[in-house]
Amino acid sequence: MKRSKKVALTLMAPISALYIAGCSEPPVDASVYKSVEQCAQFHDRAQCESQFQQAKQVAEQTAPRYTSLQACEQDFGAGNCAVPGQQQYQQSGGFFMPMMMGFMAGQMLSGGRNPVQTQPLYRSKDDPNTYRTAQNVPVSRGEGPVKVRPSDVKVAPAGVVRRGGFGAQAARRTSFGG
Amino acid sequence: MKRITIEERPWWQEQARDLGFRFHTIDGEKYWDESAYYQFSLKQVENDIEDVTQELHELAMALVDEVVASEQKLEQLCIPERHWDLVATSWRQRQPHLYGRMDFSYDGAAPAKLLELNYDTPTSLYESGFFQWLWLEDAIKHDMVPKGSDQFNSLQEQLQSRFGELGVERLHFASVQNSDEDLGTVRYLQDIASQASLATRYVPMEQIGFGDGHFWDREDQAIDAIFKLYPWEFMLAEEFGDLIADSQTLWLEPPWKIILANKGILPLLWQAHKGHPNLLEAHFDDGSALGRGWVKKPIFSREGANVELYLPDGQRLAEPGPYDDGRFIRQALAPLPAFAGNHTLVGSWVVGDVACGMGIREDSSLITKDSARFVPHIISE
Repeated sequence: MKRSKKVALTLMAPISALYIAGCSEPPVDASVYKSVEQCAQFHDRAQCESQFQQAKQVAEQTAPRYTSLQACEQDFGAGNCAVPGQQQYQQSGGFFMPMMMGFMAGQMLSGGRNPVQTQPLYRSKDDPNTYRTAQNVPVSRGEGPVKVRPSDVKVAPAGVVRRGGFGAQAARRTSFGG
Repeated sequence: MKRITIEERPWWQEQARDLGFRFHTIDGEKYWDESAYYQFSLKQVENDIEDVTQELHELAMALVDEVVASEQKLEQLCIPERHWDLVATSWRQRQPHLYGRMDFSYDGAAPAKLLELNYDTPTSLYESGFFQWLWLEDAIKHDMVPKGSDQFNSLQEQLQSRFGELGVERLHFASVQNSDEDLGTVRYLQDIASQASLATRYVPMEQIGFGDGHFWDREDQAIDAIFKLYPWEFMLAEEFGDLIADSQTLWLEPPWKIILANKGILPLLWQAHKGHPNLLEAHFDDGSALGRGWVKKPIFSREGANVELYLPDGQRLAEPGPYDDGRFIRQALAPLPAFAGNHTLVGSWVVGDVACGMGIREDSSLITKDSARFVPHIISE
């Protein structure tokens, strides 16, 4: 016989998607705001300002990095990416980051004992209604109180990863397979 | 070799949808076409396609040694000088390769003529290895084809065993965003790799990151080994191209495949084996007018783009495309045979170093393009 004895697909043809029940880590409270102004409607303005600044600092270290504006805008939409502050730019060799679209405040709600670190949130071009962390974890579809699992939203440095260094020619030429 | 028209299976579209075959129709045009099949004799398949593919594969592999040792040949193949070491080193380390496809002009009688090697980013793999296999099983079950029909197609079996031999435990898969066809091919390979007990992950080509001497996926997992459905000549010209040599990532296909995926290999094969019954006379293009009965092709091109063809009767055919910026070769014309008005191209698969399958495509033109349709085949006396 000159053909395979059997052929099977396991990933491409999911007859029944496996569902693995979630872990036992309890979700905790946090809040999502799109701006200091919005936050200040519910909390002390100075506290909101300080949370916002914290999120901004975290953004400089954790935001996804791209080597081209085009690659960044492909993920986050036109006008939503920028080169970070000049000093950072010099150090990093020039990469582009998405702009912060909101922030998640954890600590201000429980006097600093909240295990959720205050951090920036982003919205991607293909799912613009969802706030996501720098690690691409969806957090909520709107502003206000949210429940999150601390390990899901742990802040992790972006390191020195740059993206978008492959694929430029695919944009110019339409066929690549053969 | 005969072309036989047949009823389509009424359920095939539903089957395709359930099994991840999303590109069976492209831009409203039929791509998967089971309104006919090709029937080959076992002798035609074994003597004229399988043995020939095996032999030409070995001749081509032997040429890689000569190319990496010759600056003149590397230059002729338009491989950028700053990447010569990368290409040569990947060959000297015998970095593993996965698969390739040879395209033949073959009419069932005269010797098959090699048109080109697709040894870096060949597609039509899912439809060859999986969907035409399913078609045959159904066709046998429903008495649509002669009893005992077979198919030259152990692609999936060979791929699975090849994945197991690579010596890696984790393998990433990449294709460009916004191509269902490329994604389908890559997902198919990922599926087979996972059946071979490899841990697999997908990353869009555009989302691959670099830092700290490593390539990373979008969730910042290190990429130790990766299959990419993206041409080497593009990668080497892009921003991350210069970082490949110093990174530890193992690429599939490996960099040395740029030599075999290059149409410049055709004149080199001809120089080394003049008069071989399965090779067409070929030369590097010198810019002079194309003679009758010759074809001009870019060194790097895909899906028939920028191919120019000058028939013996003086008729000219040319396909436009984006690959007009490099060197060309010219090759004696071996017009594709016509079956019921369709020009038929035989694609012959090599996995690892084993010839192991066949996929037939038909185009209304002598130049096979991305508009070609995939038609299944059987072996039956």
